[in-house]
Amino acid sequence: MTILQCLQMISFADKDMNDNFILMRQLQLKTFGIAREILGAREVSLKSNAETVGMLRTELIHTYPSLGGLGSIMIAVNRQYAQDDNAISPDDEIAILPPVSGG
Amino acid sequence: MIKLTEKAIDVQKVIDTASSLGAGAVDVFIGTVRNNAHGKTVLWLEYESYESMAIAEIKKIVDEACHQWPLLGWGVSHRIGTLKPGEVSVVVAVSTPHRRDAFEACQFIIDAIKERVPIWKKEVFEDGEEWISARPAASVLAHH
Repeated sequence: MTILQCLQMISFADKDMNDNFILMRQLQLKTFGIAREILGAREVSLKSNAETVGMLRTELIHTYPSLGGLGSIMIAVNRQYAQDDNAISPDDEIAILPPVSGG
Repeated sequence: MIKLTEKAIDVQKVIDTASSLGAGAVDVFIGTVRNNAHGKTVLWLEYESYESMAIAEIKKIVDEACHQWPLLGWGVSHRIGTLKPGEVSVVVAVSTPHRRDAFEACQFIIDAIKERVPIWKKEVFEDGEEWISARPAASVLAHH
């Protein structure tokens, strides 16, 4: 990846309440089932501070409280169920998976 | 054979894929759409999937079954899209030399599909609709 591409991917958010600058990254999320209805689109672009799956889940539930009501939201990274300590980057295919109900 | 399809599942084709001349048993599970839920009439179901991951997860489940039972052949087909009551939503077929292994492997595969393959369904009633929540996610991670 070139430096230019890196700079394009990284954007600085507005100052927060404490006047600190926070490094935000743009994450692309795929959503399914009721999570798609809550987030409002199949693909969602999210400015995020999250470095791990656990941090992303916390951010999402903060932004979309009804996700928290579902009980268990799994997050897949590159088409694999991911643990909370799994690191994430803007290059990853990240998917928000409500409880499955196939069959 | 692993297939996610928006068209009607050809049950015989899944069975043929699973069959083997060395097998003494073919076990088939056919899941169908019920016309009722929670005491209400179901008009139709909407299925959706995370297709690439769903196929990968089904493959993992079949690999696990192959390690546990002497499968000679297998086939899995899952329907996506709008299904009316009575329609076939999923078919699992396996063949083994003897029947007990076929029963067990087939049950393992359909149970694991319902538990951890990223497919979702919504029930549509006359007076509303509802996404079905299956098992808690903790049981998913236990397998990884």
